[in-house]
Amino acid sequence: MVQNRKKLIQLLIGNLSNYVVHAVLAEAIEDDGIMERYRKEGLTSFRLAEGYRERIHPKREVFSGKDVVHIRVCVGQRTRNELRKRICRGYEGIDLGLVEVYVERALVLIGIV
Amino acid sequence: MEIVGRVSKGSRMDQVYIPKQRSGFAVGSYVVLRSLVEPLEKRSLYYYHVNDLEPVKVTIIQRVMDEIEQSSGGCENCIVMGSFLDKGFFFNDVDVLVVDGVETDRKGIEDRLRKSLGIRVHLHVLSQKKLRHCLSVDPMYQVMLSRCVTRKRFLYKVKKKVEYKVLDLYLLKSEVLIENFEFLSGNEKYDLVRNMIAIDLFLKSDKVSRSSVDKEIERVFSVRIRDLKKNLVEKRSFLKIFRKKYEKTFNAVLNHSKNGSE
Repeated sequence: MVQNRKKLIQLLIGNLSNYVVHAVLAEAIEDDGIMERYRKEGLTSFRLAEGYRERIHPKREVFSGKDVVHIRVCVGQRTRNELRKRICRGYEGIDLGLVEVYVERALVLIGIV
Repeated sequence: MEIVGRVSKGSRMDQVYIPKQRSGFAVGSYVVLRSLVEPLEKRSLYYYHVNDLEPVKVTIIQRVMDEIEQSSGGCENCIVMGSFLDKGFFFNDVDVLVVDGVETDRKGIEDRLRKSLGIRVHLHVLSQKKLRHCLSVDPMYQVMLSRCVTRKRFLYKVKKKVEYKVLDLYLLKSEVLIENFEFLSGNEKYDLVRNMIAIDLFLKSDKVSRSSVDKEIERVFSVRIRDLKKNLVEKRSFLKIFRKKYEKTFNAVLNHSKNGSE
C-alpha cells in the first residue's frame, strides 16, 4: 500500500479534477434535464476518487499539510487546463472563477480537509 | 372448455357458481381460477430488437409495469431497457422509462418492487416532449431505446440536433478510462467505450443503435465485446487506440462550438 501511495494520489487528483470539471461545465448549461444527468456522471469520478482516498488512508487519517497543498494545487491546475482547452475552442459560458469554490468543496466532501 | 363466473360471498367460504348443464368440469375434477380483471390486450408487450428473452424476465416486466401503472395513476407508456434485456442474468437493475407518468412516486415504486421482486428497479420519468428532446440530442438515449420492451407501441422519428455542450459532457465520462484502466471492471470499460463510440457515431450518422455501436467497437479496437466485458484486453494497445479515438471525437465535438450549432 505504501509504495503505491504516490500513484494513488495521482489517481485521486485525476478523478477529483474530472469531478470539478463536470461541476463547472454543469454551470454553463441551462437545461435542467441535462444538468441532472451531468451531476450523475460527475459522481462516477467522485466515487472512484473516494475509493482511492480510502486506499491511501483506510482509517480516514488526516492528510499532512504538504499533501493537502499538493492535491489542492494539482486539482486546480488540471481543472483549469481542461476548461481552458474548451474556452480556446469557442466553448461559451465557462466561469473559471468557480474552479476554486468547487475544488474546496470537493476536498471537504472527500475528507481531505 | 372455459366458463366465466363470478366469485360470490358465502357464509364460511366464498364460491364460484357454474351452470349444472355443461360439457366438462365433472364434479370432483380440479380447475384453475384466474382473474379476468386485466384485459388481454393491455397485457401484451412490444419487443424492439429483443429476439430472445427468458420467460421469467417477461413475468418480471409484466409485474413491474403493472405496479407502475397502478401507482402512477396512468402513464403514456412504460419502457424497459438496458442490461436486463441481455441474455443471462448479469444485470444490476431493471431500467424503466415512464413516459408522462402523472403522479409518479418514484422512490415508493422502486422500494415496493425491491421488496416484492427482490430486484432493484431504476425509474426514469420523462414527459413525451422531454423524451423527444433527449432522443434528438443524446446518443445514449438512442442506444438504450434501440433495444427495449414497451407496454404500448413505441415509434419515434426525431431529427438529430448536435449540442456540443451536451456531447462534451457525455464524452468527459469516458475520459475516466484512460487513467483508471487497471482499476475498472470489464463491464465498466465496455460502458465507457460504448459511450465514446456512440457519440462518434452520432456525429457521423443520424441514428445510433446498440448493434451499430457494438460493431463499431469491434471494428475500431479489434476486440470482441465478450472479451472486453470479461476484461480480457491488452492495456497498452487498447489504450493507444482509445486515446486517439477520444482525441478525435473530442475535436469533432468542439468543432461544433465554432459552427454555433447549439
